[in-house]
Amino acid sequence: MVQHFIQQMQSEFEMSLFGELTYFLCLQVKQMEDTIYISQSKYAKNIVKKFGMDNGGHKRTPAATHLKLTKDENGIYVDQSMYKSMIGSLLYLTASRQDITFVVGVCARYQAEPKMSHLTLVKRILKYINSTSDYGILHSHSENSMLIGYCDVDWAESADDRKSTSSVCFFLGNNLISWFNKKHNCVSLSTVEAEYIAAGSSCSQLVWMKQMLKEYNVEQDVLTLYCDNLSAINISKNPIQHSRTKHIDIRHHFIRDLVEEKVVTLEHADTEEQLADIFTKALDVKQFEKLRGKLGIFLHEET
Amino acid sequence: MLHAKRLPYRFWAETMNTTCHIHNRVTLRTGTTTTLYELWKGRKPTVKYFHVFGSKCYILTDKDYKRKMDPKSDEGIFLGYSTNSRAYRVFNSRTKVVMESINVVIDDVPDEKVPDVDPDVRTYAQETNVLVQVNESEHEEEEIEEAEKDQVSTSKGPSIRVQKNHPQELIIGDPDQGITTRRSIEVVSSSCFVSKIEPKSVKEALTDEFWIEAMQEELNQFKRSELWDLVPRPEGMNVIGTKWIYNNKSNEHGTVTRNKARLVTQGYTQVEGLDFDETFAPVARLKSIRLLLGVSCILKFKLFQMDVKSAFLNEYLNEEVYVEQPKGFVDPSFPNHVYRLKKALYGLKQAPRAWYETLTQFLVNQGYRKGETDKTLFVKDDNGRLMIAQIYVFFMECRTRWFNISFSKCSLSLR
Repeated sequence: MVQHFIQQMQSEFEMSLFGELTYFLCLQVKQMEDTIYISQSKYAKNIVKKFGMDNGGHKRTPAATHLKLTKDENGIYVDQSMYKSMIGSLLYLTASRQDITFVVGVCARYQAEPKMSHLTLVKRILKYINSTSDYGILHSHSENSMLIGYCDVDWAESADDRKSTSSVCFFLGNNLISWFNKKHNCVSLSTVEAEYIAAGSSCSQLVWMKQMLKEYNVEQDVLTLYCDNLSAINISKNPIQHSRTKHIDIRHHFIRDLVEEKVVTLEHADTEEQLADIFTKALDVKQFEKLRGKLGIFLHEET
Repeated sequence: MLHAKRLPYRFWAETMNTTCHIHNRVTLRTGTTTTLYELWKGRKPTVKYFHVFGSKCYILTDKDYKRKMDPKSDEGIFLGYSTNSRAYRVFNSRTKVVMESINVVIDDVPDEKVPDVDPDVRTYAQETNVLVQVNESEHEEEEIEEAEKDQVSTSKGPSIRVQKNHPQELIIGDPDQGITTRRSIEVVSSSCFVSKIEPKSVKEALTDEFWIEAMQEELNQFKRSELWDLVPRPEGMNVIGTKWIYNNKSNEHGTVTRNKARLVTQGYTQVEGLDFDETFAPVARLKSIRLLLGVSCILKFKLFQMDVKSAFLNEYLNEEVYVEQPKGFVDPSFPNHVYRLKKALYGLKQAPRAWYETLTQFLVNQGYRKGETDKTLFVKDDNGRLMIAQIYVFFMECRTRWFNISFSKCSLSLR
């Protein structure tokens, strides 16, 4: 069938480079029986080299747990264009390295006025990349093709304006396919509210992915979204307009509608099982490596 | 005066008159402080109306019948002053007669370009033999400005270029390198048939046979794919300029293997609404590519990838687009004609979109279904065997990449 398609294409256009997918947009793809391994090791090595960190130290985590970035008004200015190009390179690396999504996202906020403290953190990320450049996502085959989302929020995370950050990841079967970490654009008064905003944006993602999967003839039942805040789950189920939730009523109705139509259901997940944790805060080595493994980032041995 | 302005000898009488006219009004009689004119007429002369002899002038055509858009004046040469009125004597270049007219605008600014070499330099050059001839031809365009510099350069010792009989860049390899072994000759031989320099302009490229060949090749490809037609210049249409881009392709050793000339359009002169309306071409999101990878794992797909060569030249245009004839390759019999594009050319605003649409059309004809949510996804369901094509249009590289997935073992209907 593929041969037939290639012939068809060749008759119409001038073609080159066919073959199994191996390298695409800096993504190295390795197809094996039952598994697909995606990595950006070449790209990662390149950026580490480009910013002169290839002789730097090695770190096991991308960020220190105690460090909290602020605007750092009195700090020393650093070269903005270099900072920006570092962030840009790292942002593309998150295409296959979700473990650095959180830190890169935090550093990216200070691109307008980068200070020494911010640059130090970016350099630490590069050191971490240096030691883990060969890591990549491993997708494996499974009978289960359920779409699951995990959403978590760090309430009032930003020390500058006290806005919260939501972090969401989605699994298809046991493969991580999508994730994001996003600072809210409004201040939430309570954790429930923040959690609810995060749930709202993840629901719209879920619905999009459900439609996409339909095109691949993969049908989905009720989509499950795990979040670790019981009050948020209760609000989605209980149709009572609470005075505390009045000002978030657009999202409120959006989620409630989806829940009533049985498109999405919100479930509770313990903090232990909350996989989106890695996107919300800097973790210690033990927890970080455990979660990273669960997300499917492995070092693939050359065979 | 005639020689200074390069006028024909038949104007000698006019020249004489003008000389006398000026002479009478300017020269002081020896021994007095009065001009000749003053002695004769008893009043001071005025020189306000004087102009430079032989200058270009514009004569108002007030006698002939004119239509609205016709030119209002004729070009002419200023020759002198009328003896019995305030008018000027001018030679009308259009009617070829010497006439007197008061409605004349004279361009007094002297011609800054005298196309000949300074006679001083020429005599100097002949003294110092052949070498200077080279210098002269080099500086042909800027001769006047360079005239003094030329003198300086001639006094320098003979340059390497003349001694060697070959320009340095045409010598293959380094002449000081000594004898090369056969292994390294292989590299040299591959570069024998290419030019090593990248020309900056068409003029430069047209002096090099390899580059002419490269440009010819590009134009031949256009002819083969029936890319354009030569048509008379259309009225009221924006004609887009074209430009040659020269690029040397080199292999991993850094030796030049191919000269590539590419004709591009200056798309930035296109006007929105007139020359194009939609430029947006959808691109697959990275997210949906990852989703595809995830799905292909679940469904046990095998992924293939392919490129379409010079993708942008494959598609047909909806709009009427005209481009100038490529510089250096203008049709001698129709120099004012322009090309009407049938297919897109690099640099056009609508090129990516037109390519996307061609591809969509082709895939839909092959029985593919365009995705509802992701417009770059095409699915074909062939008796339970699923074929998915994801397209990705590179704007910069002008190339299309594909994901192409075939179904391997189990069929979907079993699920």
